[in-house]
Amino acid sequence: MTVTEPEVIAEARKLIAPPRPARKVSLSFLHPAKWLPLVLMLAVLGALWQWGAGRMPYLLPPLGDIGRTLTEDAGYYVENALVTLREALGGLAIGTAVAFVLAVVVSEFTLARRAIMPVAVILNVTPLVAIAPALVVAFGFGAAPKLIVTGLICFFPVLINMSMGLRAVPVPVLQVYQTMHASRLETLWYIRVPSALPYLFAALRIVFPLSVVGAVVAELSAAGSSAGLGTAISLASSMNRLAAVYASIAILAVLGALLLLVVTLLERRLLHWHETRQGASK
Amino acid sequence: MSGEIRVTGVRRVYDIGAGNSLVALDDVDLTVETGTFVSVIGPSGCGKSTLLRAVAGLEKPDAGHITVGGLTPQRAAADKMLGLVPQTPALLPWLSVLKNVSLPKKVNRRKGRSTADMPDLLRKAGLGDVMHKLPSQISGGMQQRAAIVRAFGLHPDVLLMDEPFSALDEFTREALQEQLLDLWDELKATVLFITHSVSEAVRLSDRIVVMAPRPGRITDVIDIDLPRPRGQALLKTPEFHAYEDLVRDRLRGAFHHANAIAS
Repeated sequence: MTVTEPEVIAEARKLIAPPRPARKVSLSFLHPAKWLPLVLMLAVLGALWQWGAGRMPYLLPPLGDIGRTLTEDAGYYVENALVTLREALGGLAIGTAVAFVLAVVVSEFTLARRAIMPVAVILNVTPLVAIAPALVVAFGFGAAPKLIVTGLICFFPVLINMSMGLRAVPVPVLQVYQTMHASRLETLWYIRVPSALPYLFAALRIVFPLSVVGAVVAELSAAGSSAGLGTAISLASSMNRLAAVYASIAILAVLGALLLLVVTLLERRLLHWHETRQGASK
Repeated sequence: MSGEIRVTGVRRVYDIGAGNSLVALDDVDLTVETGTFVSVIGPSGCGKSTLLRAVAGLEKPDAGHITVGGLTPQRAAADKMLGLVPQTPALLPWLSVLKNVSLPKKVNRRKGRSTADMPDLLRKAGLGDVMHKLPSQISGGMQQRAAIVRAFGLHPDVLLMDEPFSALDEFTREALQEQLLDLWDELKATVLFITHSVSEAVRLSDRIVVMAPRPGRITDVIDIDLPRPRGQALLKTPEFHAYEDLVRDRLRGAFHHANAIAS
């Protein structure tokens, strides 16, 4: 790292510059340049949809029908959405926790890495859509196969990123603490895990919305499931109720977006020190 | 309490592949008495950083042995006798300056050494106003000062510094040299300082060790007999320049010697 100006000047600059205001609520999103493009885009898409629905009513239900289905059967959709959300979050928690622990094991013990990583890679390249029916046969129509499928989907990105992050600590930092005889556990807790957090969050941004995909895939392959939006979709499509199919799809899209929002807020809180975040706030 | 560094017959060879090897240190002998400030200077590849890492216990010599205060480097590290200041500040980006310099207290707790009052030490180093800021919010010179405070904080018997100012500009560098001397004067430690700046070595040291490459070895040891404290004014005196010229001459000798062997 090079200092480009005398430190005296740099320090003076810091004295002159007003302190950065602490988290001011920005109203810039009210400016039309911020929201107008998206609104126009949505209007165009909506119009195209309605035009298509008018020509091919058997392929696309009119937006009004979807809205009516959602409001008339609101209780039914909320109930099923909660089932799917519970499966998604449960699988997410299990998959992330197991991956986190394994990442620590794998990054601390070379022999464990050689044993575990190839298996994890093979598991990752095996299509989960193909595994799901087998899991249903093995574990029945309850929550178990859904949690397993969702967990498996979430597992791999977290394992890879976390094990990379744990080992991405600059050598000089490790040397400084090695000369103080910091134990392995201390190095892990004070240095490696915090260093890996940006890597973990990069994985979580992928995995949070993906957990919904896992839950739905599992529901779709368990033909006898009693609840969940995936079940609602297969039920509605078997009865040719297109508006109901799209109503469930709309809710799934919203769920995925909400999960992405949650992980973004978490990241903003925990990683305020990180470079990419500081770049974003400037 | 002793911080004597004793290096005897140390040899370190790196295998650089294809059956070739590089002799980074060849039969190096060096004694640094307790409380003295010794700089090691030499062209790149002369093994000066390898020597420092070996004293820090980060590398094991292939032959010979090293003691720090009578102990092996590993034991000295376990007793928290060592402080390391690397070339980059190596601060943790998620901790404030104060928390960064306080972390050494939390690791390896069994060795309850008397530690410094960190906020006080930071103020002495001119970091009082920024101690609650993150490393990324302060200048490079301030970051390096924080790294020095972190090393001094445990009152180490031996301070090992690996070109700590090499990435800084001339002004910052001179200001930091002065602050380092102030801190050293107050906290007293044996210092082994790696540098490639002649004037830096002359200003800081009681003794300068000149090294030459291929194989890495000590070619000269020069005592610097200048009064302390060594403020800005000293840098302009003829005595100071005489020492600079002397070290430069010896360094040139080391260079020529190396090239003669290479060709």
